[in-house]
Amino acid sequence: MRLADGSRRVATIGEFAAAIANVARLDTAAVSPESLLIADLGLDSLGVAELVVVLAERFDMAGLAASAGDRPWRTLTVADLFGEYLTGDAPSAEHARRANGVGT
Amino acid sequence: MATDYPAIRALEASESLGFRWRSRGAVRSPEEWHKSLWAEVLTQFLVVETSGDRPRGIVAVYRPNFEDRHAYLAAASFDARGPNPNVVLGLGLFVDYVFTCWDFRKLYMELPEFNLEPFATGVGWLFELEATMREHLFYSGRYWDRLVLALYRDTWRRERSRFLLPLGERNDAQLDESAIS
Repeated sequence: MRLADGSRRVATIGEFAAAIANVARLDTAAVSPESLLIADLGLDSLGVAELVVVLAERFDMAGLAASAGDRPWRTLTVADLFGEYLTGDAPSAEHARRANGVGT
Repeated sequence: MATDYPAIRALEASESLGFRWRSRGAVRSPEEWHKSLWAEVLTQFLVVETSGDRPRGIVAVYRPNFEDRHAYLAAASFDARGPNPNVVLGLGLFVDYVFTCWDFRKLYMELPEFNLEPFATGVGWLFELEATMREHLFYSGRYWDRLVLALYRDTWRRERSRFLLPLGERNDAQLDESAIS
């Protein structure tokens, strides 16, 4: 994540969740790794767009912005996005199957 | 461009999106449709991602009133699957463009209440609810309110950075903030 002095370090899940809570206008305690962005945190299209900007700016997740239009936002959790932040990889094929209701 | 018209017209007449658009399910003749696409429009764009050329939505400003300095803003997502943040981000670029090019004090958005969901969390801090016409529209067995929201120039200047990606993450020209003050 980008710090105020311009340096970078890897964020903790707590810091990541706090940034999402700020976009959702919730207390950090209300956000868990399992929280669904839309159903649990109440983000709508406006909120998801704001989240994409925050993650690109503060967490260098430019790839998320590039593919934001094809993400299954309704089924994404905080942990899904944090995993992508750590690895640089979008949520797995397993997630896509879950998003499409296959195998659930 | 005119080559985009068939796709736009098909979406406007689609079961999943047609009732949300201004024709609200009615299918107009090709001639009427072409006229209506540009009727009272000051400017409009398709929202297209930089990674491809597939239109994701459309944004427009129409019915400009230069004397009283307001106009109407419209946006529609072509994606029926769920939230598409890129349409909102495209709308952000468009609002920046509109406030830069014209001296509007505010942009109104007229919408049925069933279209509010994608923007509902913005009411109160980004959009002001300026009017409600009670049970104004019929759709799917009941009457719905028609809402008039307003996005003020000052509010946009304060909040715009929330919806504009940093320069490295988009190819579009960044509009200078001082240009919309």
